[in-house]
Amino acid sequence: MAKFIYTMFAVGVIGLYSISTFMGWELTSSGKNSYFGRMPFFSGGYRGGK
Amino acid sequence: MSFLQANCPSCAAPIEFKSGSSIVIVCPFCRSAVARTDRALEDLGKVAEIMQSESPLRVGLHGMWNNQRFELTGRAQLRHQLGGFWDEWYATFGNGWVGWLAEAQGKFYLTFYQPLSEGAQLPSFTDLQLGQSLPQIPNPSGTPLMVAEKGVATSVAAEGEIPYKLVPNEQSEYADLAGKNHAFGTIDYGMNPPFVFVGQELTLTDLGWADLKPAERQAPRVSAAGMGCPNCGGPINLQVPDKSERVTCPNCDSMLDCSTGKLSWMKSLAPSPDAHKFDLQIGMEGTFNEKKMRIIGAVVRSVTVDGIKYFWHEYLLYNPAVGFRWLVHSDNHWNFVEPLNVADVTGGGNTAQYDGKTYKLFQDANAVVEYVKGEFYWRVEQGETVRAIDYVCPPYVISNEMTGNEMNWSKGTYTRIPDIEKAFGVADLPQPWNVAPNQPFEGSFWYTWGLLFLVALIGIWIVMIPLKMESSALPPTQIMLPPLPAEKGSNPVFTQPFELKPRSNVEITMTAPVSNSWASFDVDFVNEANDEVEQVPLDIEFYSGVEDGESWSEGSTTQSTSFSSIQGGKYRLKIDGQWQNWQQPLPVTVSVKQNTSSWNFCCAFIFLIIGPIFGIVRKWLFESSRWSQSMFTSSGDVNTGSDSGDSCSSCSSCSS
Repeated sequence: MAKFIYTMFAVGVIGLYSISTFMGWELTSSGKNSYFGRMPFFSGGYRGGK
Repeated sequence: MSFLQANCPSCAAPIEFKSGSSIVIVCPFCRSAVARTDRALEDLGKVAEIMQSESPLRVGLHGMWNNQRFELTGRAQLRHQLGGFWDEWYATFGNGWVGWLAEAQGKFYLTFYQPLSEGAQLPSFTDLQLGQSLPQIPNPSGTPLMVAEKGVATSVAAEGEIPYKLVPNEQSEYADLAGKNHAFGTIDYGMNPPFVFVGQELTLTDLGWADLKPAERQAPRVSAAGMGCPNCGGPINLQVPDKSERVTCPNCDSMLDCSTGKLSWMKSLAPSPDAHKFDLQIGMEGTFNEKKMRIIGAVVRSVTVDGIKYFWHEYLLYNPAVGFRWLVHSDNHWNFVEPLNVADVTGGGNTAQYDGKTYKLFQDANAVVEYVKGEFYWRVEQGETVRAIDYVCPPYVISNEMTGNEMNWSKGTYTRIPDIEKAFGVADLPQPWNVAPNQPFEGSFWYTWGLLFLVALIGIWIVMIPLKMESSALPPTQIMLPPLPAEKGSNPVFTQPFELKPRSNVEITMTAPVSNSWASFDVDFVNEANDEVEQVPLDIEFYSGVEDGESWSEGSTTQSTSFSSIQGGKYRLKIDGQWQNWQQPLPVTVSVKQNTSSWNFCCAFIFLIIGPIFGIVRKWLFESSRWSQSMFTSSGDVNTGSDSGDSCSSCSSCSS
């Protein structure tokens, strides 16, 4: 059971990394003054404006 | 010599030398060994009755080998110095060849006289060493034969025609040799100079006897019916009456000899020093390698290491077609043990090689028989000692057991408890508490598949490199921010438009010449097509000074931040901010890049390396536990750090 769970977890990590790299998602912080913990977002979508 | 009809000099019965090479014939009436010489027939004395066994062979049987027909024209039965018998059948071929077909413990060896090349010398019987190679003896394997056993044989019985002067009860020294590819040899030191016979181990099928079955004879050596212990009168039921030499009485714990055809009391057995009783019983049957095997004997053995005695149990298994095998039970681990051809094992010292695998030295100690139960094919004794050397290559162990006259190799295969329980139909066998010498590690999944996942991650990263190369969307651009109308006022400035690609992360970097002050910016990415806005705050602060002669600094004049991809298209930056010296203009440098390196890969790597690290640590702990039980380290050095003494308090299989 543990092996199955780990396999699913590893496949999930690889899948998430692949899609985030392809889609340009930034899943974690980068730089000293950055959006740590910000959720990824898809292109498009209104975020606010003036 | 030629065909000869004559009368037995002892009883005058008609006898007939059918084979021209026969020297001696056993009179079928009075059992005298009659030798023919150039002048007359000579009575060499009476030979004993042949002890019948389950052998499918008989005098007069015809066979085929190497496309040559042969007949078994005679049989000599010899007794091993440790007890036990074997037969040597005299095979006469139609083309004039004469050979010997030895039969021992269900195995068959066909050998022929092998002359040595001129000048070749053999060591004397005394000088011959176990394991010694004899390259001067040619043999079909192409590699030198090795001494597997040396001993003294006694001619006890015969029938039919024999090609040498067989003297009843005459003893002769011999050495058995083993070679690769089932090559076999014998040196007969009864002759001067010694005679060498070379051939190979064969099966009944090889000899044209595929359909032969074991003879269904009443084994007269010891009848299974109506035998009682000569000490207590309790019933004794022999499982293998034609092969057993010793048997113990289950009622009075006596050692009985059954080699002479009747049970005779030898002595009372000393009680077993091992508190742990046998988990399996005599008479139980289990299936191994698709063969049903019966437990006919059980032994308690021990080795003493650093003053501590370690016990284990061995069960003797028997199947008429397969012969004898062993089941070793040590520290509640189980191994199924089979004999090996001595010549198939090479090396020695720290490693040994067998069947393409390298085995590491694990144990080298004297193994002592502490207690026996059941029946045995050799003259087993309490206190019997052999030097036992174990080499491991999980899940296998090969063991070399040597006495002064004999060397045997055997191979043990680790067998899991559920398999033992299933084979014998038992349950709840006790579980082990440590790692067996040849126990296989079953956690390799974590570092094999774990590393595979890491390799997949790295592969995807490599593939993505050309697709996601860093690019500059807005090169470093200097912008002068005008003074603010008030401390908290606003005076935004727009950059030139620039292009952002879709599906690529964005990193913005700003530099402001703050010194012991701060600046806080709100940067808007404004989509020129639809006026959608992505807001990015950036704070810059830099402080420095000298304290106690040492300079210090805090913060930086440059800050950057990155965020996930946004819709592709033309964008302008709207830069608005406050700074400490708000009445002064502030020159800032801003740049925007895409596909910059991110923490995605590092985080994924960290997550995926957990599995392999876990697996490797488990493997290391497992192997450390395995080798802590050994007298040697995994590299073959003497193990000075063995904690085998520490395990004494936690197991029941040792005494100190």
